[in-house]
Amino acid sequence: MSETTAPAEADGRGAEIELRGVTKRYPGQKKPAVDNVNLTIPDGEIVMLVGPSGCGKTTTMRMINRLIEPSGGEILIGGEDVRKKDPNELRRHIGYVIQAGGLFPHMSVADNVALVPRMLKWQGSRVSERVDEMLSLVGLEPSQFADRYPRQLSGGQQQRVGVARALAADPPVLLMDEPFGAVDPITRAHLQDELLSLQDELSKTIVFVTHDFDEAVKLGDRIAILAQGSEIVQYDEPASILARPANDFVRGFIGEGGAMKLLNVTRLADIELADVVATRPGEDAARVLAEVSEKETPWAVVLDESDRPVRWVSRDALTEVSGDIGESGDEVTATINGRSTVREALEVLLKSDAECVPVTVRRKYVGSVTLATVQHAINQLRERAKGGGRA
Amino acid sequence: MTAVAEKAQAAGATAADTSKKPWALLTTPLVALAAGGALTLYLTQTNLTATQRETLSPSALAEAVVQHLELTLVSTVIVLAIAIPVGILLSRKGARMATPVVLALANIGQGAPAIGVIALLAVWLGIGFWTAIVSLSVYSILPALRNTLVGLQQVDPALVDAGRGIGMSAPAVLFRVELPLAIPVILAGIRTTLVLNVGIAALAAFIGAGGLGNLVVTGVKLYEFPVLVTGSVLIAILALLVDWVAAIAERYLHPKGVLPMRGAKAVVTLALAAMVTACGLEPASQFIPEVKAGPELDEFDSLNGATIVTTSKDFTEQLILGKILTLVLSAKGAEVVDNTNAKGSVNARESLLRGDADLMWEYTGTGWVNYLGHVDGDPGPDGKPVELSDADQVFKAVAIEDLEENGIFWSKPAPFNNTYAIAMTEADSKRLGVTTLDDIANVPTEEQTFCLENEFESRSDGWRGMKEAYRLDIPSSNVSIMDAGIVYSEVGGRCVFGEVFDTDGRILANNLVTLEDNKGYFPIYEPSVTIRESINKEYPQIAEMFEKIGAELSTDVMRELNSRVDVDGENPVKVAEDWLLKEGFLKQPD
Repeated sequence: MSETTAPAEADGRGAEIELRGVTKRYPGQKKPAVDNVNLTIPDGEIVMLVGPSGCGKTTTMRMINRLIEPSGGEILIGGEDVRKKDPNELRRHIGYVIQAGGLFPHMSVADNVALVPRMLKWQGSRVSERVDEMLSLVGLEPSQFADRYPRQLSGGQQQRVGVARALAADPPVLLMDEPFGAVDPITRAHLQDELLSLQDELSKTIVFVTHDFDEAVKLGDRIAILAQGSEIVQYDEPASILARPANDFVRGFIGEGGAMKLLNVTRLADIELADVVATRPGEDAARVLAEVSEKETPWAVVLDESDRPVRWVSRDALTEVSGDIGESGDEVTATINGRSTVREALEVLLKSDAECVPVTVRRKYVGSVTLATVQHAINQLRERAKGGGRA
Repeated sequence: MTAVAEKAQAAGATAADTSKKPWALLTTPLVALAAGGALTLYLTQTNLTATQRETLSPSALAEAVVQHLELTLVSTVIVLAIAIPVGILLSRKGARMATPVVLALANIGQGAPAIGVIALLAVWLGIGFWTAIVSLSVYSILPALRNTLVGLQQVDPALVDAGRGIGMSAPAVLFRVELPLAIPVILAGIRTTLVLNVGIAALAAFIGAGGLGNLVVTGVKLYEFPVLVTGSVLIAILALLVDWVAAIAERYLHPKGVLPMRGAKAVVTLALAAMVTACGLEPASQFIPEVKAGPELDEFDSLNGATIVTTSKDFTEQLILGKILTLVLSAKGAEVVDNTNAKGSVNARESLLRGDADLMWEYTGTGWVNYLGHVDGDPGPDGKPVELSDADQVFKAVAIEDLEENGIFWSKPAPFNNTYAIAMTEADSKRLGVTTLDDIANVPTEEQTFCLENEFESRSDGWRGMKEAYRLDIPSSNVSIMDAGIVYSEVGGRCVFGEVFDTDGRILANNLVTLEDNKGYFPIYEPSVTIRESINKEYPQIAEMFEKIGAELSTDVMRELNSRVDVDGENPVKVAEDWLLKEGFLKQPD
């Protein structure tokens, strides 16, 4: 999981959100739009609310900052009942991001970002420092973007400003309502990646509404799959949902290629990699050959002094060398990062003719991946899911 | 701000709005300037009468322009003070239900003809500045209201949601997000209102609120082309400049970062000014009951096969007289095209000169003074001076000269004199001891208040001449200008004195008395049928018939006929028909 690369600090930069029996009834409608929802969103996690349109996922989210008043139940943020606070004051401490950022077109980027700090009566100098800080955080150079108007930005840039505005007053909780729905797929993928790396740094509690299951899988620490009336059909980590859908509704939602999606959410760093002999240019070829012969794989990988994989040497090549391995063997043409998903590894394997690709973490060699490795990983994931444990 | 950002902003702005080129804003004032120049040139090249020179003097024009601007601005301020808050209220969630109702009401205001709104309110509120203001406001509230509403409604709901979502209060969202974003549309509405009001304010002249409309109305009624042109062009220039100022305001108040919208153009204004000017130039043909010639007309040859166009001016007496023409001619077998009820003196007379109409009743004094341009004591065709108060002299002079110069034949006049008269209530007459025009000078200045009809105020044989003849020094603040019909009900109320027509039925109905013109100032206005010479030669019996009929039209008869229309509300055609039947000029069809 992505958690493995995040610093282990669920230490209160976010806040736990708890929904207890939350219900929303609209006058004149027989069925409640949201019916008795119980949900705990852990501090510092991204929880994705996924469901078909009209299921009440947005309503549920909007009750958290009281844009919609619940008809019944309790909502606690960090243990405090939201209904006991002034709604405006409450919302100033909850980040809110909507599609296309919801930027005010008549205000400059800086003014948009400064809105909440100013409402909270921050001092002018602190506000402008914060604006610059936030713009830099979302990858927009302040000197270049602060005085522009939203119209002069691309869709992706607008969305980044939207996130910057939501984070400006450093709220523990962020509500995001299909924020990336209006941008092209490439930009969306970038924005998703950026959100993940931001979250590595910030550890906010994020409630994210989407109807795109793949987005949920990519971003979520947990996914709540909602049916009509915001009924929580399944609430679990993405890999568990993929490996063991609770019922046909969830299966339908996952759609075709559940196994492939599972590969999508599983990172190389989290599976058992192929045990390939690693060696150095200075090693004796005959000794390495003996080592290789004991293994299934007929190669060894040669590492440089920084543990980076540089060449492959095959058994045949090793037999032809006497003394040190030296410069013999073929150059490594492809490596893959440990943070990559199993699916990405599969693609690299299929695209290059290599039967084996070295995996690196911070450029250092950690193991190799082969088709057999992938198959083994899938089997293991299934086993674990059957056992009821979490991936 | 960094240079880069500045550049980016400027680039955004230029790409969005080509009209931000500096010269674009200069176009309107240049056009206005050119129009003003052309007008000045035209006026200096034209021979103006003394009256026209006075009417068109810089100080008189400045006063009219100021009045016009006052009407426009005050009504616009009132409209905005109502429309913007109401528009805001209607755009709130809770008030959605009321929106169709309020818009329907505002639509009624605008849907009704402006002149109708003005007239209705004048009946209710009386006449004058504030009635005009209320009328203008009622009339022009719709664009401002609708644009405020639409401007607010078109703000992306997602932005309102975003504002509330980040913790802005509802008023903060309204004032910091919704209104700034609605401003371009609201401003366009204000601009429309302003320009509309400049045009409609011209109609205020009908209820005595002054402004440039006075010039247009006078010009149309008196056939004073220079006055008409000056009024119309000044209204157009005013509209252009007001539109221009609004355009500048729009630019500077436009929220930065938002694309400008395409604004309404001043073309609308010009069209509007032209409309006001042109309204009433086209008389309408009307229903004529089927009648047969009575025994009194047996002696005249029939008019079978003749096609004759009748016309008249637009006031009651002229309508009745015009219908008499139409009824009698068709009873005698002519194919009659009834173009009576042309607005003002000009249009009826003009259509006669052009040959679009064949005959109309005209007053001897009007012909001699207004059409032929003479003043009291001018030599007549025989070289002797013509005194305007001498009915015979005036008729002979006008009959000869108009036939010679314009080919218009004047039949022998009817024996009533529809001259101007000054009327007051019987009670005031007794209280102030006034029975003649001479006595007016003895009335305390604060009671020397006059209600005058627009035409009288500006014609050479009207107000100015009367003041001179009777050595009256009446401050202009004592004088209210209004449409003729209103004067009768305002005498004894707003004004002590009112200018009336001597044959008007409402003199009796309203218990008014007319003052004796003891110096014989007012010209004689005896009605004669004026006929194009070619028609007269072909059908000489027409003039003869109407000389016989006219002989029965005494001042008393005319007052009674007028009264049936003005006081009893009968239809002029019916009144004319009844009288002709009674006198034996017509008989009921079998």
